[in-house]
Formats: sequence, structure tokens, C-alpha cells
Amino acid sequence: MVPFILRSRIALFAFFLMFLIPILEQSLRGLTHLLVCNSDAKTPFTLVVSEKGDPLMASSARLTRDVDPNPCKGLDLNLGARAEGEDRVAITVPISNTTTYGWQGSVRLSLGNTTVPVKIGEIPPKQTREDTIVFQLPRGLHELDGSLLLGP
Amino acid sequence: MSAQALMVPRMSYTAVRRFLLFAGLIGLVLIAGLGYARGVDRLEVIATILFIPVFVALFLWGIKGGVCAGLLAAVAYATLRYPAIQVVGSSRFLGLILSRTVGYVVFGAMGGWAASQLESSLEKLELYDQVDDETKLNNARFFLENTDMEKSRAQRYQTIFSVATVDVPRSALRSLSSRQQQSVLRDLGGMLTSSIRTVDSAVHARDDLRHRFAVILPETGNEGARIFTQRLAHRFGEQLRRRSVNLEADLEFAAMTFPGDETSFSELQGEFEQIDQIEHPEASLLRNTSQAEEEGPEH
Repeated sequence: MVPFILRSRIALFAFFLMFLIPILEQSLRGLTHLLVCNSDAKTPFTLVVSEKGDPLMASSARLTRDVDPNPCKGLDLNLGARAEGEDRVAITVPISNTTTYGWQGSVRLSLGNTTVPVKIGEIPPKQTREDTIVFQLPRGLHELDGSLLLGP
Repeated sequence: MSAQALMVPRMSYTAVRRFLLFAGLIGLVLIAGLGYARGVDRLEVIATILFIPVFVALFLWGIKGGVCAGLLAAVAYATLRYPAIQVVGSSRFLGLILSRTVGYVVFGAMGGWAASQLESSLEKLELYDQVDDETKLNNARFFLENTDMEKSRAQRYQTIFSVATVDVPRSALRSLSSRQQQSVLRDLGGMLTSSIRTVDSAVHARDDLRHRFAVILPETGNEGARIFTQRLAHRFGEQLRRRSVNLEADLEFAAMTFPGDETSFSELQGEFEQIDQIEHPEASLLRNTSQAEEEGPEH
């Protein structure tokens, strides 16, 4: 049996140790990595899922005066899309790193009020990493946007 | 001013528990706030906030409460992710939800165990604490238990014992800083320990007016106790003057022997009992609770 004093000390240690769980779950890696930069995708989409045929996709670039179009210099997110069936759309999420440093990246895709985190992970210097995510959409008009989230 | 207000602030186990709960809540809010400020995904910030009810539950209901609240928090997190699961399927979120579930449940179980262990340690301390924090001598509770035992022994075996007391007025130490006061009290404690026999027991307790030093002297008669007390009071006085304590009069002292001085003995025990109740306000409550548990439902 563990002595009383030792047990109390272990309990106190465990009490402080357990706070590492919420800290570690806000990990520096993966979906919840701490951000140093956040920028919107160059190409947001509007998806139209009709009753018959493949979904229609329209893309448009936003031009805003006096606003830096890409605050994450050297890192680009350029969304791509293709139809996968009547109500399915595959969105390709590539992040290109043109810097000489490695970065941790993820993308937050926003479909109306729903956000879908896409983990890209480490993007080595001068390379591109991507992921493809398939959306199953109900009929109607949907606006899809992406935000690039970068951390060290 | 009440006697309790004049005592050194001593945290009861309930106060320690509240303090830990409060500190933990502040910690979790800080972690969530930091995540929010650093731009962590809002849903993940909410996921961190979900640790708060788990933390409260583990404090209130131990491991069971922590684990149950952890599972509920995992369900709440999965519900928050449900709109996204509907759109892209569950496979993308399975790992995330699983890791969150493990996090909540482990947090609840580990915290629940730690909280219940700490609580039982504090309860035990409250019930069995016999050491005076300031002088490392015995405290008022020890005095009560030991004098009761000596009384029983004296009655059973027809023996005698004496108690010597020397009182240092608290007003005399007020000119010193709290650190100096502690040092003086430790000095007196050390002096007392070196002046007594192995079978004797030295006690320090404080009420609202005095620091009370007492020595339980088994197998000692009235005359011996009186001489010992006189010398002790004299040595205490000299030591205090050496430490720049301004004593307006000589220190009060008393010696009483059992059997013989039953009335003054009962009065002294009553005074130490009051001090013990102020020092350990929850101990009697805990004793009653554990007694009721031992007696069971039939009583």
C-alpha cells in the first residue's frame, strides 16, 4: 500500500498534471495549432446542386482596395473542385509554400455556417501539400470558402 | 474582535477545496482564452471550455462524476461537429472525436481521483493534526488527548502528573515583524524542547491574548512542577528580552497537579478545547459524520 504522505503528493502532482490535457489538445500540430497567419482562399466557390445532372460550380475572386490580398506571404491556398456525382463535390485544398521555412498548415472550409477543418500538416519549403475532401450537399445554392491557417 | 479573527489565518479543508476549484477554473479559462486570442478554431476553444463542467463535476462527485461529465462533454463535442459530419462524413472526424473523448474521460478520472485523494488527506489532517505549525511543538488537540490519557492512567494506577504553563502575552510581540515573531516563537519552542525529559510533552497554542506554552510532566509532584515552571518562566523572560521583546511585567505561569487541582485542571482543559475548536472547526463535524457512518442505519 502506498504511504499516506506519498499518496497525497502523487494526488497533488496528478491534479496539476491533468491541466496538460486541455493544453496539449490545443496542440501546436494538427487542426488546432496556434496561428501566426490567417488568409482567405483566392478562389471562393458557389456550388449549385440541381435536381438533375452534375453540380454547377461558379468561382469568383474578390478584389478589395487597400487590403493586402495575401497576408501570409509565400504561402498560397488555391481551392479546386470537381464533381463526383449528382450531389457530391470533391474540393482539393493545396497549400504551396514558396518560402525557405517549413510551416504547419490547415484549412478551414466554410460552407454556410458549417466549418470543416482540413488538416494539411507540415509543408516543407518550396513544396505543395494538399488534401481532397468530398462534400455531400443537399439541393440548392451553397457558398464555399476556405481560410488558410498557418502556424510554426 | 472575535478570538477566531485574531488567530493566524488557517485554511480549513473546505477553504482549500474551494481554492483548488477556483484556481482550476481560472486555469481552464486562461487556456481557453489564450487559444481564442491566438486564433485557434472557435469550436476547439469551445471544446476547451467543455473541460470546465468536467472539472466542476470531478470536484463535486469524484471519479464517477468526472468520468460521466467527461463522456457528456465528448457527446457535446460530437454534437458541435455534427453539421460538418453530415456534409463530409464521419471518417474525417473520428480521430478528432476519439482523442477529445479520451481527453475528457482521462481528465475526469485523473482529476476525480486526485481531488478525492486530496480531500481525504485534508480530512485526515483535520482529524489527526497534533503538531503546532509555528513552533513544531504539540498543539492544543494533543494537550487535550494527552492530559485525558494521563488522567485515566493516574486514576487507574494511583499515579500523579503535573502540567506547567507559561503564557507570553501576544501584545508583547506586536512590535516585531511577523517573521521575527515566528523566529522568537521557534526559539522558545526549541528552548522548551531542550529543557524537558523524554517522557514530558511540550505544547504551544495561542488564544486571542496569549501564546500558551504548556508541559505535561508525568510522575511529577506539585513541588517539582512549581520549581520547573518558575525556572522556565524566568528563562523565557530572559530570552524574550534578549530578542528585544518589551515585557511590561514578568510572564504569567502556573503549575497544577492531578489529582489535587481538579478544578483548575478542568478550566485549563476547557481553555485548550476552545483553542482546538477554533483551530479545527470542521474536525468535530467530521468526527460526528464518521461516527454516524460507523454506527450504520439502525442507530
